[in-house]
Amino acid sequence: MTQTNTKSSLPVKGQSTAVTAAGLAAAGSDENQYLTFKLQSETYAFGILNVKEILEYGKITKVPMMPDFIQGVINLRGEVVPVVNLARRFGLKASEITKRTCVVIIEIGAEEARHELGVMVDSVSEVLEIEDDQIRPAPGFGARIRNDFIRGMGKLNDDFVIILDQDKVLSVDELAAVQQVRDMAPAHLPEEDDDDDSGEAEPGKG
Amino acid sequence: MLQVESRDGASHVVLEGELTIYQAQDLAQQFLPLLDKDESLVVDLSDVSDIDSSCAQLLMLARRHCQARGHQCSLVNHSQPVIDVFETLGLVSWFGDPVVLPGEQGSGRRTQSGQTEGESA
Amino acid sequence: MSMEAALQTYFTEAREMLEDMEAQLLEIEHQDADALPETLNAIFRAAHTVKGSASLFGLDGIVDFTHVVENLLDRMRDGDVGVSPELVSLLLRCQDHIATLVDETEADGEVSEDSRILSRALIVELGAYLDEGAGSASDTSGLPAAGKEVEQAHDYPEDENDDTVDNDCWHISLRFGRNSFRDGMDPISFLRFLENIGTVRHILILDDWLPDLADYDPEDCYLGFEIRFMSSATKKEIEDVFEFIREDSDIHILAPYSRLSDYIDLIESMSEESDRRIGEILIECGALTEAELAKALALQAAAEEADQSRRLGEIVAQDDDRLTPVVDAAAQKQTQMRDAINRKQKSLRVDADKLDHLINLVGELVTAGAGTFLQAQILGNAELIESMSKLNDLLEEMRDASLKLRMVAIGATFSKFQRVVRDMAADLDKEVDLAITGADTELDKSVVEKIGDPLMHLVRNAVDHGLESSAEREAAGKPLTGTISLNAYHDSGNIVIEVGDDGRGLDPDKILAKAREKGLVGEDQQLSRAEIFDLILRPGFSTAEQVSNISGRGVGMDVVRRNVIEMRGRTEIDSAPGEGTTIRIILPLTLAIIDGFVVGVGKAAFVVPLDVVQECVEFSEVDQTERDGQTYINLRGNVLPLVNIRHRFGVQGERPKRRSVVVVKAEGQSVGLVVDRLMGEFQTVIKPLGPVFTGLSGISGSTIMGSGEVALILDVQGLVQQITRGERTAANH
Repeated sequence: MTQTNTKSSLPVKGQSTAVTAAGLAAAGSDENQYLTFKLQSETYAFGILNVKEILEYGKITKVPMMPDFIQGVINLRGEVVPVVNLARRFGLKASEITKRTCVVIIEIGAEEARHELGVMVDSVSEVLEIEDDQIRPAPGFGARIRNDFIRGMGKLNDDFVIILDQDKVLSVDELAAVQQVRDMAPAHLPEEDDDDDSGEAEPGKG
Repeated sequence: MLQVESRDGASHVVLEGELTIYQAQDLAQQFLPLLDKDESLVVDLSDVSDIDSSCAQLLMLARRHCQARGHQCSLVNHSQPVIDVFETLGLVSWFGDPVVLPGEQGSGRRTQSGQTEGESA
Repeated sequence: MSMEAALQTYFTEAREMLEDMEAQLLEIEHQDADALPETLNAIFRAAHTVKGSASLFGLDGIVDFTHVVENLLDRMRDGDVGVSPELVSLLLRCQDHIATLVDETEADGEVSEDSRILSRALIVELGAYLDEGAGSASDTSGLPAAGKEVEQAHDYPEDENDDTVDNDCWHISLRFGRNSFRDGMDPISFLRFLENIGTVRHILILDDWLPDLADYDPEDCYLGFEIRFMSSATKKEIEDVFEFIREDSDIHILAPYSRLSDYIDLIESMSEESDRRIGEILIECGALTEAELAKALALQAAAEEADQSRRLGEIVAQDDDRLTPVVDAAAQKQTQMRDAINRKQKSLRVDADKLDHLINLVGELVTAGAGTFLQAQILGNAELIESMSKLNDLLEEMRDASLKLRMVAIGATFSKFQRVVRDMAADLDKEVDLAITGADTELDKSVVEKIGDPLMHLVRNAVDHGLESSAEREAAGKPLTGTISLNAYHDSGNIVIEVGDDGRGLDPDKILAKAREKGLVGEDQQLSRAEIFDLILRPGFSTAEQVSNISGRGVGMDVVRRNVIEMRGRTEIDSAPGEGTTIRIILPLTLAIIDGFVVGVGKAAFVVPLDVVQECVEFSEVDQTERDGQTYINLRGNVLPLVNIRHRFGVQGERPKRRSVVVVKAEGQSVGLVVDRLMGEFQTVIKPLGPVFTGLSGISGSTIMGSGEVALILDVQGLVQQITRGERTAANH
């Protein structure tokens, strides 16, 4: 339940545990810091500057007829924030929801249109500092995800982390545009794999 | 509107029904000529169901006219609507006629002139 | 307004006047000579108003001192006393002192002994300047000052503190107009009404004008009354009682504890009666004591002797006062100015973001309160539930109040279009008037911000395409100048904004033909007139082709509709060929709050706006019939189309045996929503779903429930439209 330190795996327990951007950023100089996380055995990263906080996966209200990569909406201190199922967004099979499943709140958009989005990941790892010269351009091929989602490959010892281009991954236009297609299709039925998970909203009870 | 009975040099006038601006002209025509008829005029108000300022004013005029000639003009048996209007207009003390105020169990409380009126608060 | 409230208002206003006075005093020294008279006037007015209103309430401590200050200011205004830095300093000290007097009076109901001493000391200082200016005895009396002549008039004996008549009642003199009866204005009605706002302590009917029998007209009114009236009403309220007879009747109202001089004026103004007679009347009805009357008559005689003409002038000047609030007739203009100043000072500019933040916080507070209440209910502690419910009530009041902060008049938005219309008319070589009504109509700032664009589209279209060219108008026998009207009004919890033109109107046949051509409407589909008009706001109703009277009408019009729907509003179109078109935008008063009816489907909860809910009935699958993929039930002989929320939104989970139908009505059409559970009413703050969900149909927003979870708000409008338009309802499985 404590503010998480960097350079260690981020234990995020309970929705009340919020790792604020300030807390994360306090670890070092901002620009080159990245929040790394796991998604189906691959390590990805978002630039820390836009990461507002990290929540435990909790009560999510499904929004009907949305594409399956929109997991739903959550109440973030009075604001209703959409949550993107990143695995589905990447076209992967949805991950199983575990105790380590997290929602990373990311701020996107410029000045006026700024808003927050939640991104569902399997587990949050750590905050890393990656110097610019350690970042390679995205490979032309071979990645499991869409090429334009990748801002670069961060070299980490002998390993690589995929640094995501949040503006592409979380492009509102794209997230919203898919609905037009959906409108034409028969009513969307949620995929069986993310049904009835423990976190589904049950506002009706109580 | 009114019934007149004249006996022993006194006119007894019974006013009836509504006495409002709509009746004022008729009432003036029928009632005012009676003023000079006898030395004493008794106006019975028991059957007045409604009276407004115009007819109250007519009664004032009658009273003043009689007084100027040394005649009697008394108002008696004020009906409740008459009492209400007289009280509102401050006429109870102006006329000074005994008014039977409705008291408990109908035992009339008599007041002479308006001495006790007005200071109702 | 009660006396206390009026007094409270006085204290507040007096402080504002004094602040104003201070600001003006500070300006004097930096001003050039041209501006000086106006500044001095403003200062004088401030002092005069503070004094005048204080005398209304009998606040002698304030009146007596301020009066002297006012006299000096008056001299300065007349140029008799020159402005000097020393004098300004003295006046600033006086202004401070008046403020102290006001504070003390408010706190203790009277002025402290120390302040009285200071008052006298300051009066001595002021006296030095007064002497300099007039060379006459300094004036420290409390008689009303009408000008510098008053000083000379103060030879008559008078004790500063003995000027007020010891009468705690209002005094009302009424002389009814001759035609009062004929006009249906019976004195009884007014006197009875008077009893509603106070107590008539004594009423004296006057027979002075009763004519002889010969001259008597039974329908003339000869009556007059003198009334002692005990009331906490304001002069205005009392005057209002006699509003209808004000013109033809003679009405004088004196405040409680009026100055003897006011009675003198009253006596003098009763020109038709002898002074003695009216004096007696005043004694008779208890307004004055005999001693007071004697003094008044003596004062009057002395004054008359002293300066006949001046006295008359003053009487004339003050004659009107009695028909207007006590704060002098001469001061009426000042009052207006003061009001304007007050309004300026009473409104506060607040950063809109701060306001939004506050409203957000309050909204959250309400949500948190609801959550806590829920916990209290779970705990079952009666006291806790009780106090939480009180707290919740307060929170909701607070939210309503804070939302009101955000209400602004639509006028500013409307007037922007003057320019737009003028410019467009010039471009198009048309003559166009813009008629604006309902500019005062208030609506939520968030609505105002969003309504600008749609209105712009509508106004431009109306000017461009709605109105005919001048030649066409002439040919049609219409006035050459076309009129665009903007109107706004409140209608049962909604705000209605109308954009109208007196142009060529819409031709439903042509619209329908075009819509069929575009494939927007099926060949055999029958549409009502309103539905046809509505087509012009539909996307895809293009304007490229020249379909005479509707050409171009589609430009951006679908944007209008979308914007309006985003605001939870709807549009209505009225049009008559040749007469014009009115497009009506109907919006909720605020975008922030909704009275919701919560229904459960599966594990999800949905909120139905309460204002569209008609009734709830039990659902039985047996009664359901199906035609063309649309299911119906028979509701008391009427066919009720159904929307199965479970199907429509693809909700998973076990289907309960007993289900319900929520009958909703929108756009004149009833539809049944099939849901699993009814969960009751819930007033809630609406949270927009954000850009990711634009275009999501059937859902208009979200809200946070007491439990902290998000529930979605159903877009009933959209659901109904799908059915009325015969669109395919999603998946009837």
